[in-house]
Amino acid sequence: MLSIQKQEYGFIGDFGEDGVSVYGLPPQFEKEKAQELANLASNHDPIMPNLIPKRRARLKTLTEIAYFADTVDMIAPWPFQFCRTWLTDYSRERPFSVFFGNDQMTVDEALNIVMNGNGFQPSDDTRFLWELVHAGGSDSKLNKVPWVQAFHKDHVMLGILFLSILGSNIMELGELSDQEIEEKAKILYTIMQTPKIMHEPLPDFEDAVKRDVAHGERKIPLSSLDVMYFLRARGLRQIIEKKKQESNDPKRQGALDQEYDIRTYLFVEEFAEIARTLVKKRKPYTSDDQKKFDELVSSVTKMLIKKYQVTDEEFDEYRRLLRSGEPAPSQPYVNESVPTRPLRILPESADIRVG
Amino acid sequence: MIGNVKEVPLSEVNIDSLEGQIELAKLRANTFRYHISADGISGKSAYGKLFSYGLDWPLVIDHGHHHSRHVKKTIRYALKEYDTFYPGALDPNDPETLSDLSALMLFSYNHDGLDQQVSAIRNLVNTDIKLPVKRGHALAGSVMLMAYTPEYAQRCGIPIDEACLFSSLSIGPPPTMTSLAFGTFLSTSLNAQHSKARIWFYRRFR
Repeated sequence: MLSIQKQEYGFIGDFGEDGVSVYGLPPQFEKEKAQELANLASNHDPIMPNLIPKRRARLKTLTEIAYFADTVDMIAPWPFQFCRTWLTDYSRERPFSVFFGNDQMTVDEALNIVMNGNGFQPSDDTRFLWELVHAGGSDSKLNKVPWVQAFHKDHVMLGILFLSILGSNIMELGELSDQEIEEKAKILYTIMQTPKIMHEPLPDFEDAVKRDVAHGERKIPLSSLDVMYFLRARGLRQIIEKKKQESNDPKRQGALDQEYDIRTYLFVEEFAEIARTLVKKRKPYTSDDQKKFDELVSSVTKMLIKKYQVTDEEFDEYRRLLRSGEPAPSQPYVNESVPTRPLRILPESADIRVG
Repeated sequence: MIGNVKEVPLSEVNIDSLEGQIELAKLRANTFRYHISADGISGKSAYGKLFSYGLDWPLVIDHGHHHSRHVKKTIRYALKEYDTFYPGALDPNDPETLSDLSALMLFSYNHDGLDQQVSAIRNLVNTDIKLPVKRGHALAGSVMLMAYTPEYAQRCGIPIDEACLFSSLSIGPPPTMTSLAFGTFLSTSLNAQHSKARIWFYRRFR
């Protein structure tokens, strides 16, 4: 099955110095695990014979949890879902909006691919909407758990509200030079290196976006990206400071500071990469294109409000969260967590064994 | 050499409770991941090096460490919420619950990390290739985990002859579900009931 799946996409063959792939796995892995893979390939025994109903039910539940957990990160934390998508190969090669060019879809056609299409969407906006519309779609036992229901409701509503603001702004993209991007990244780096970042008031998301528009320079909405990364930096700094306070070990404290430095570097790299991606997405959208985008988002918003039975009070609360950049109450993790780098493991307490 | 690790004596983990079993399952998955990375950094495994890079390289960060960690945290959170809403459904007294949880916890870092992220790194390193990294990555990850069975057993201190492989049910009509089901449960897990006495230390990422 694996070879059949991988064959048509070019995973099987001779990759020169990297080695040969027979099954479609990374050549380096196939070389190191040649014997184990040969054993697996020649083993035709069923993997789980005689599964009793109780275990079958449990495995089904755990599978649902795994699937749910994988999709949660698509929409939570709500401010970052867009950044994550923009970093994917798929996003890099497609326009932001489906409403572009002469031979473009109607709003109804776009709505149809959002509602009935699969995850391979032609543009970022339909992909974002597809993620929001199909979140928590199945009628599983897991989806009946109150927290799971609240999670979907909160994040879907916050996601679409943010998309409506950010999307319109992105469609007004202007040219931004590499130099300007680097300048932005430097400023961000400086901000992130400031310890008092954790005490500064939160920037207002909507204000940040409006500021871009108000400048009238038709630039990429980098200030709203700034806000997102400001939030991430502050979240990380708060965790670092808390962990430092919990430990009296100077080595541990030094390692935590080092961790923050590394993450800062990665943030800035990520930030710059996203900014470059957005530059490439710059298209001459017309006001008519933007109107169609607004209409599409508005249609989906109304549908979601009905689906989740969002009250006026709840809607106001979502608007407040949007303005403040706060995480939804149902978010199952903090925005940032420590440690976050793979090549070095941070010690946690006195009984550390240095590897 | 890869950085610092914390050793957790098994005596600190109460595997009679669901929470303790979740913790132990997590420790096993972390131990496994630690050793793949460590072998890569020490130069013992060329694949392990790619695996390490794939988790945190900025250009492929979308499915790297940050995503995997969020998946792991969500799984733990969801298990507890599920147990609260459906008391007894995940019975810690069932001898196979720990095995199933161990398989589940392998999902978080390995469903993308083993194949998709390594393919993404290969694309960056070798500009002559452009692999569609998503294609077949869940199934590939599951096969790779199966190939890792002896290593997983050894690293977690569980005898290989007591190890059991188990897969998901081929249920779930949506293709994604089936694929992820494979990704999760074609993975290796081990029957901890036979190995309590042998497990003393678990290394984990902190």
